[in-house]
Amino acid sequence: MNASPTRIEWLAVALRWGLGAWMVGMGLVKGLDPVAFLKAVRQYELVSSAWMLNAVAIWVPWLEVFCGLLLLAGVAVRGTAWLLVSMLVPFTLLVWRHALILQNNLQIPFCAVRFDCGCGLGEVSICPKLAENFLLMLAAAWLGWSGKGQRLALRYELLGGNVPAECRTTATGHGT
Amino acid sequence: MVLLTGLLFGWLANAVSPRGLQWTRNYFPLAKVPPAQGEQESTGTPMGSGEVSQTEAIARIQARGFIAWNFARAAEAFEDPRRLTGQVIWVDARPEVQYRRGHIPGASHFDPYRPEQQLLEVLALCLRADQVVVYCSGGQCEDAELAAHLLQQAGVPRERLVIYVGGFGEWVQRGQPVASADSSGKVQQPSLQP
Repeated sequence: MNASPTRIEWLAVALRWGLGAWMVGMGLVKGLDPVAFLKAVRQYELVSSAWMLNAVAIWVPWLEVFCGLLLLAGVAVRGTAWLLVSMLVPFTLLVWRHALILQNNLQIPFCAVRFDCGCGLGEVSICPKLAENFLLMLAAAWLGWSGKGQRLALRYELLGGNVPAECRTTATGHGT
Repeated sequence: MVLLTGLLFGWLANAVSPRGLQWTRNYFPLAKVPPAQGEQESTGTPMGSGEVSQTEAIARIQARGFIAWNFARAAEAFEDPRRLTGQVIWVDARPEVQYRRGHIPGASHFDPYRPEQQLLEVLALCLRADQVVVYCSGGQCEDAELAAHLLQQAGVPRERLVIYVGGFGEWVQRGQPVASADSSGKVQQPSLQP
């Protein structure tokens, strides 16, 4: 029988599920209305070619859904978490840059800037949005760095795969 | 590995989705209009802070060669009895879900991002009309211009196409009548509208 996992292990599971559910939800909102997301991506003037713009608008939402499903299921958690970080960091920087442009154009305080960032929630205030993205990045980075959250993971616990060595200290007897 | 599988997943999901995008299509064929002299530079966004004035939108529409109408002109056209005979028609270029929720009575839906869905029906109406009033949400929304551009390319003379700048947002704000689509979402003939 497995030993009781520590609180931190359960916290990691909760984070994994929370992050996974969030990514699936936000990815579906964008993926099911790709034109709205396409318009949102266009505003960042990230790419000039139509093909590249379409590729971003097609891939990003479904990649989020895919990553979310992997996190929920507990498959390739660390790789998925780092992939999310690598998507969230440039996206957050783009949102920040665009907010600075709007602030400059409209001559309003930074936190008064509101726009549809293409995040799936419609028009949002910039400061809560940046805080939210920072928390998501923090959660994903911690999951990727610590390797925790293997409890109830499809790969390790439910299908009986090997638990990575760094996880055994907190989840003793876990799949070994 | 996760990335590659995710990209494959995205490609498949887009391929099977009825709302999927086409990889090579240019969804924004209209040239970007530089802001008029003396005006603040726009962010170029179709959605945003809602601070862009109608003046800027009118300048943009005119720079693209279309006629821009304000609310007074649009309201006048709405009262025009020729609307009931299909000589003056309205085209709603907003997303279908917004059109179903409410639109200007008699307006036909035409999504410029999926023109193949309604183009033939709308084109038939437009070719019979003397005046085609195209609108979207208003403000920074450029969908009406895009729809007008596609209709013009399909054969509707440019001089018949006008854009109601304030769009549906202003229409509602001014307390004008609103109709909602029937459950089938079928394009409705203007003559059948109240």
